[in-house]
Amino acid sequence: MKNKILSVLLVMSILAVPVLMSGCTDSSQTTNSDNNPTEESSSEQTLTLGEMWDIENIDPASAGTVICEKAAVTETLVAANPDFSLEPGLAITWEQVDNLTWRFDLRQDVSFHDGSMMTAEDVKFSLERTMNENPRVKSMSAIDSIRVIDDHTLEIKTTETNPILAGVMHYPDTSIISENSLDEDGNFVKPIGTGPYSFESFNEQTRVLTVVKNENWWGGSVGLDKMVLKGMPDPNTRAMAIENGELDFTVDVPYSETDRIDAIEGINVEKYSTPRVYKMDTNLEDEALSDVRVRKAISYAINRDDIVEHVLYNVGSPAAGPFLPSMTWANKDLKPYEQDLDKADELLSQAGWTDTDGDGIRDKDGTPLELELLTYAARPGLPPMSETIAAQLKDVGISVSPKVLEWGAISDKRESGNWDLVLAAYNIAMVPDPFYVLNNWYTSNGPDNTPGYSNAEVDALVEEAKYIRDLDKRYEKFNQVEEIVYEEQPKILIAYYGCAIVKKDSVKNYVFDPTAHDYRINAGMYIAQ
Amino acid sequence: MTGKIFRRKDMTISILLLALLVVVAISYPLLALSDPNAIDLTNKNLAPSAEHPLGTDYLGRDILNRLAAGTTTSLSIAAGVSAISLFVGVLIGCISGYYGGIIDETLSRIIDIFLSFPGIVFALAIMGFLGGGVINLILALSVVHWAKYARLMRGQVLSIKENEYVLSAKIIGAGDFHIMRKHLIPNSVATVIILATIDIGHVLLSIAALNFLGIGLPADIPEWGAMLSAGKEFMRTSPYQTIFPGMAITMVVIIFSIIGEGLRDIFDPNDTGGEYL
Repeated sequence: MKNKILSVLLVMSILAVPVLMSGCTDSSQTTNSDNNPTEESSSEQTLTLGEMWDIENIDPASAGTVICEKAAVTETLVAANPDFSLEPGLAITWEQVDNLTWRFDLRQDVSFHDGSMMTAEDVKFSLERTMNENPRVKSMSAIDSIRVIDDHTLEIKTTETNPILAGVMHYPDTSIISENSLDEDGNFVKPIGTGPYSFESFNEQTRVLTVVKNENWWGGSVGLDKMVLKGMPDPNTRAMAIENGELDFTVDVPYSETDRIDAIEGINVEKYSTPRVYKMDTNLEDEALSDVRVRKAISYAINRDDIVEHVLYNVGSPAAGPFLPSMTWANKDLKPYEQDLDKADELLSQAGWTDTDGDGIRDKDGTPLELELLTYAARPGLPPMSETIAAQLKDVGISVSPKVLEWGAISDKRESGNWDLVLAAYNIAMVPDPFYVLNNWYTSNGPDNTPGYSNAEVDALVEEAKYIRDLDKRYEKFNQVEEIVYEEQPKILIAYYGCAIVKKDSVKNYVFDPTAHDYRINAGMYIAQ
Repeated sequence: MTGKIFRRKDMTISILLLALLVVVAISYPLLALSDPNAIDLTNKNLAPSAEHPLGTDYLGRDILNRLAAGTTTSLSIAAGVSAISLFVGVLIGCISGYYGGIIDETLSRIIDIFLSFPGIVFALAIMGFLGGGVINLILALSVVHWAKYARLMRGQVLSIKENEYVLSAKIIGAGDFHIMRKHLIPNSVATVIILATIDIGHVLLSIAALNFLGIGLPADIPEWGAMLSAGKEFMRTSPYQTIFPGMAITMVVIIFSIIGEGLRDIFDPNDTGGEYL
């Protein structure tokens, strides 16, 4: 028996030798290539960045968030301040000449990475190309035609009055590239932009994007010599990669690990709010939910502070209106609904929902108050949030069963009308202007008005505000819309989304840009030796 | 028979543990101690303590309470799946083996088709089609599991039906149904039941696997696989919420394997059914 075991072990160890040896060579090769940047770092500053999505595409017309915001290769005509007000980017000034016409004056000192100067022709080329490639930008901008007036002046005609056109020009997919980014047949080769970093290489197999310093950036000096962007879609992988030194900078490690990682020597975690909100749509076709008192009771039953602290680990903040309070146009008078079980109980009783059979669940005319809460797992905060909301609503006698489905399955259910509540995380500043979100979410024909909400006053206010060019008056109308939907709660807002920036202590001068879609790399960021 | 069972220490222990689990599974919903979904956010991710013997999960729910509630879910689904697949499998296998000819050919090919799919992928596809929920989960897993019982039953019936007592029954004019009920099934079912016993462990694993993948039960029904899956994000900060459900799954699978193996040895006429540890 013993001999048998010994011989088995012997055979196994012989078999294992080549495996182990091949393992050795493999790992030594990868360490070599990984070490290359660090070896050079004595003379050259290289930052390795763990990106939250796989990098599949380097065309800024469709992958603007990576190329423009995260790799800083391209830039947009319009930039934005942290309060989402617009400021000059590649364009110095712009104005709406008449209802359908906009004029943009471009900076004159901007050159592309290939040395050529940026002209109005390049801007026209880039914008027209983006319209063709990207239907979302096409519909947001409503551009009819673009005319070059001189080398640095453009005139844009829109198909309808579009006061948010300047805001759309902040959207990363509209960033400007040189015509040389395409080959002779018009196929996209590589992004030649104007940003602080220029494109060096993209490995389609490993999906690693490398960019290097642009010595001639119009905006001044650039911090890093080189930046290597690696797509790592799994939060746990990103956490381990920055812990073992493979990365210098990453975002969104699992929320529950932010404190543990922050405590590690040499790594720090910073938490910010980003323009995205966790919201729960209510189906207004449902008999119970069509009653505003039931919707408000649900809002009063939810403890937003607890959700932010214990489910999101403070990566985010409680939500009142659809806009971050830091946004210049947000209605700052709105405060998040505070949990108030007595008020919820009062509202539900008024609406006729009481627990007559003593089973802990309210009922009305023999029907128990049972709702299904659908959500999806792609954003890690959603499933535990749905379970928490279900437990909190049970305390006021509403039975909620949370279900985690694929987004496609949720869309199918919504289209068939067979749903009660959907918890999702939506972007709230695709374009830095309140029109886009308020129109899409709350007007009767809004494309994202899944609850089926219809309020003539809201429709009229949005339509009226759409054409007002004076920003104060414009925002005042939109503030009224925010106030109405805050009272009526067709969409129950839970919390603003957060972003956890995780970086080594040696990474200095990083400035978080809340207007970016996930995060933006700023030119001034550098590595301290 | 009982003597044979209790002469084996491994089986005795396994059966006692199984009995304990069954008691928990049956009594848990009746006792209604506390809501396994009730959250306590300030006491989340706790290590085991006197108050929470197995700690708490990411929403502050007591892990022991949820594991106990999960026993009811897991065992009742596993029992349902085994019962349905056993019934369908025995019936189809028996008909196929007894009648032979074209009926056998047809049924055997159908069995082959069902056996040719990889189980978990097949179940995933069915769940995708039917949607989540307890009943759908039982149906999906039954569709996956019945074919192997049918295959085994058919083999048993093929050898038994040539026995003289079956031929004599035919000669005195007994009907097909009578022969199946009185002779074929009683004489072959022991083997199938052994397979079913071992298979319950596999069914439990499949339930856990489907829930781990997030395609099974709604999030408010406590289930071991779903607990394991939800806890994996917290593995490095509070590992207890994955360790304990994982141990529970492992333990039940081992229990059913030992009982199934033991039964096989006991039914084996060449085995004395003695000490095996």
